[in-house]
Amino acid sequence: MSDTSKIVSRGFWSENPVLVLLLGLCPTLAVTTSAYNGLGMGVATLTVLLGSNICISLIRNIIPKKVRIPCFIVVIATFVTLVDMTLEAFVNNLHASLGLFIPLIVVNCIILGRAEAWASRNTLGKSILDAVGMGLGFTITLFLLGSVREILGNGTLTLFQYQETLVQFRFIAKSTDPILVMILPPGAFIALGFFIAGMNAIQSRMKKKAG
Amino acid sequence: MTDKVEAKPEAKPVAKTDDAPLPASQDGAAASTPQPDSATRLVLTLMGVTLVAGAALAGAHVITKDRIAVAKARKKLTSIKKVLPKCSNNPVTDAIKVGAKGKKTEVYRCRKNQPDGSSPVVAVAIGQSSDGNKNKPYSGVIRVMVGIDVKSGKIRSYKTKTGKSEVAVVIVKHSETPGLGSKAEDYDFRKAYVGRDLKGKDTTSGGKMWLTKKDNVQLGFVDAISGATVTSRAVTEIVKKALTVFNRNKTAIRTTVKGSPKPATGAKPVEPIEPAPTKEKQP
Repeated sequence: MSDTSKIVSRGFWSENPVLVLLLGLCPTLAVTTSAYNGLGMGVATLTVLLGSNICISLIRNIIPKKVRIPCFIVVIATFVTLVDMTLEAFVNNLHASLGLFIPLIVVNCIILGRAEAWASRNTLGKSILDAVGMGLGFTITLFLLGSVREILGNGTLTLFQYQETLVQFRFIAKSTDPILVMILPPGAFIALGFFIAGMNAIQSRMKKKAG
Repeated sequence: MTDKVEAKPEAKPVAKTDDAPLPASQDGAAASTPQPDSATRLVLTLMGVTLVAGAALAGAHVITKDRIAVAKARKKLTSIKKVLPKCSNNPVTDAIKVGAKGKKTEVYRCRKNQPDGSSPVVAVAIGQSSDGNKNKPYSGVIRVMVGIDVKSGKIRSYKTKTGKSEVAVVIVKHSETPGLGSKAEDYDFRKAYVGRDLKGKDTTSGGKMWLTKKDNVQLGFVDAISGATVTSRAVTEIVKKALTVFNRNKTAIRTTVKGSPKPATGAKPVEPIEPAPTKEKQP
């Protein structure tokens, strides 16, 4: 039990893909202009990660070492394309706003990283747990980053948007100008910097207490 | 003694990272099954993987193909509906293609049944993109759907169900900077087009030009978005292009019968449209 929770919780905190491993920063910085976009990207990545971890864990014993990376990439690319087509068919507006970054999940280091470092060496169960932990950690981080940037940069928090349905909260009155830079590319770096700094501060404080 | 005490806190974090980290986590599973690395085996494995992947994708394509087409069509239909009034026909099936070969534009026609049985075209929806624009967008392509009142040749404006003012200019697609160029979607920007015809006239002012105020303070009528002049110029040019398409093809739009529920010949004489000034001057 403790093993299970350890594998899952790693992704959230001690090995958070974005804040600790610093992997997959391209989508992290690019799509977190709104909370909903961050959430969408996170869930898409989680799905791909889960699929690829399951597949790679299953075929890990029949793949010769020399061709393992091409095999992993084929598996990952397949899942990305599946997610891409599914999103386009069923959640068209999210697909439009994530745009180019869905196909780019293929080269997201988290996914190949987990395939190489974990799924190709561990049992199916452990690989699923790992994918869930890492994927959720990624999703939550992206969602929080997107929320902060959207609230500061646009004054709103968008939780859901499909066709005419829109779940959105407004924090800054429409008449006042929000801090626009936060939803522009520099804002991504600034927000991420504060996130990582905060994470490090908490961790060193925790270490101090434990020590 | 002191050395030992100091060593303890250091040992802890090491042990902590030990049970989690990337490289140390082998089960020995991969190591226990040594593979004969013959070339045939490599090729066959890789081929097998790609074949399965290909088959999976082909299957998914078949399943999602129709849904994707439906989603795209619905998107188009929503923007067409937004710029047209209530029609007696289906504007999508009653569309005609106008313009030079290779640069055809679809014009979606909205008819209204009259008490005398005729069904003249009252409004059209014309989609234009920034392709071929002199004023390029800041990034990517902008697509705009414009609704034009056939009788007056002006851009439609109307009230929404909730009583808000709206203008029949819809940004269908753009990849402008969020927060800057994306403000072109807001009514505050688009209201500049309310009631404009190709000459730039609206109900209150005389002839104005299809320019931003930044380009010509006296004659331009479009209030450019601050920080997104490039986007404002691009959208303005696209809207103007849509009006140009309409003005060049006025007669065809009104008379061509294709997929129309009622013959347009019967509708022709009662159409209350004065012979439009065909020699449109480009402002």
